Amino acid sequence: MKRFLSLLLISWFLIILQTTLLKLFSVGVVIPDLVFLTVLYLGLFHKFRRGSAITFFLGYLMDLFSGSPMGLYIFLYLGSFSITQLIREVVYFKSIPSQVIYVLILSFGNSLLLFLLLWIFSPSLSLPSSLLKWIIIQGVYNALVGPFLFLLLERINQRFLDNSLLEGI
Amino acid sequence: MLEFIKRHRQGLITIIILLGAIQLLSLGLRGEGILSLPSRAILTLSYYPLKAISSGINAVQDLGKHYLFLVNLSKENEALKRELDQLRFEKNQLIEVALENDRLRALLDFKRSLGGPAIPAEVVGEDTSSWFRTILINKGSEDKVARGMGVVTKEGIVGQVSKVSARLSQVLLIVDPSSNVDTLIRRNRAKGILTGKTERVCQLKYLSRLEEIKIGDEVVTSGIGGIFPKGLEVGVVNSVEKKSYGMFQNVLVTPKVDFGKLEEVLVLSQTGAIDWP
Repeated sequence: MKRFLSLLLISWFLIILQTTLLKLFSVGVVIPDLVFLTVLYLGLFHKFRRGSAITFFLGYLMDLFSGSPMGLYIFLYLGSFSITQLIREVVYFKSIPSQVIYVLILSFGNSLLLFLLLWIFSPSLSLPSSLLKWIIIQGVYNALVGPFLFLLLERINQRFLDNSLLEGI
Repeated sequence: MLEFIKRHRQGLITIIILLGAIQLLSLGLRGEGILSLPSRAILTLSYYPLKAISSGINAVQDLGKHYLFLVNLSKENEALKRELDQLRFEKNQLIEVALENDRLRALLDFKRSLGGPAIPAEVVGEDTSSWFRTILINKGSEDKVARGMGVVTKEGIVGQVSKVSARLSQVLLIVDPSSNVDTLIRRNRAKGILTGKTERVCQLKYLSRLEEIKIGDEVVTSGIGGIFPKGLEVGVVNSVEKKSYGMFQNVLVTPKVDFGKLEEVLVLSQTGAIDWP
């Protein structure tokens, strides 16, 4: 329970960081999505039950702190987490290149699905014409940051939390 | 059956959770206040770290900016350098106080010109996502901020309060795709709905193609809807496109407010409030 609460606190801290400090590192409208990367990290390296509960909380916080309708990020993040849990059984994700490619693909998929859902539920929504450009930039940015964040989270996990949490693959 | 459930337990749980999330999403889109109590509690708890980090960022940025201006003057000996650094630091603080004073004075003048009550607030955070445009301000229900109230600066309108906790509120900016503001062109009073485009530009929708719109035309609030008083500055027309078909023309507007540099705002406390007594 203590470990679980610690992970929830880290999630909350990441959200606070994303609303304040990360705007300094924005490229146009895009900021690195640490929360999404944390979801992928949970999907790759943590057990289903604990990982899905924290993913739900991360999605809930994203919905709360962004202008999205409640439930959008919960759905997207749980979807990404579930896909990652399935894929990790068949693909080796310990190397940096494999992590970069995986983050890139999932970021594209996640952003495209987000706008698809928004378009389905709110067809009158006015989307920017340069949307694809920003989706690509977001994907590349996440892919570059992803492996470093995975490494950092793994270090925090090993040092301050519990080694048994880390399943490895 | 039991065997099947046991074997596919993880998959079934995933499907149930995803269906639950879709249900939450549909409730969220309908604007129903689901999970409102924990949401308010988390937002309130986040007030202090948000305030601390954003104040820290501002202080470091300001210090860095002013320090660069003064660094060429530091050709003095070591003993004087320390004293000079101290003076620089104090000067930077004074410059920042003077600038803040100027901004607040301008905001106060603007508040007086509005004629109605307005709540001054500071921006303490931005949207966590790259795809939505909101900001967090350090005033909430304790300061009588309510959902639906208009938010402005002396440059022009900023947006509308979308979520409220005790000490923190979220403001949906006019550049967000889900924002809609009833506006008119100041010169010829042509009416249109201003909506965001994620980037720092807005689109003026439902503007009849019969209206003659020019680049540089000023866009102001129409006063319809009760969110903003009539005549507040919104932006300037930067592009007009009339296709050979359709009832409307495509007009893009650059907002007057620079959303990347927002620090202080005013919440219009007599407009648009939902559930306001």
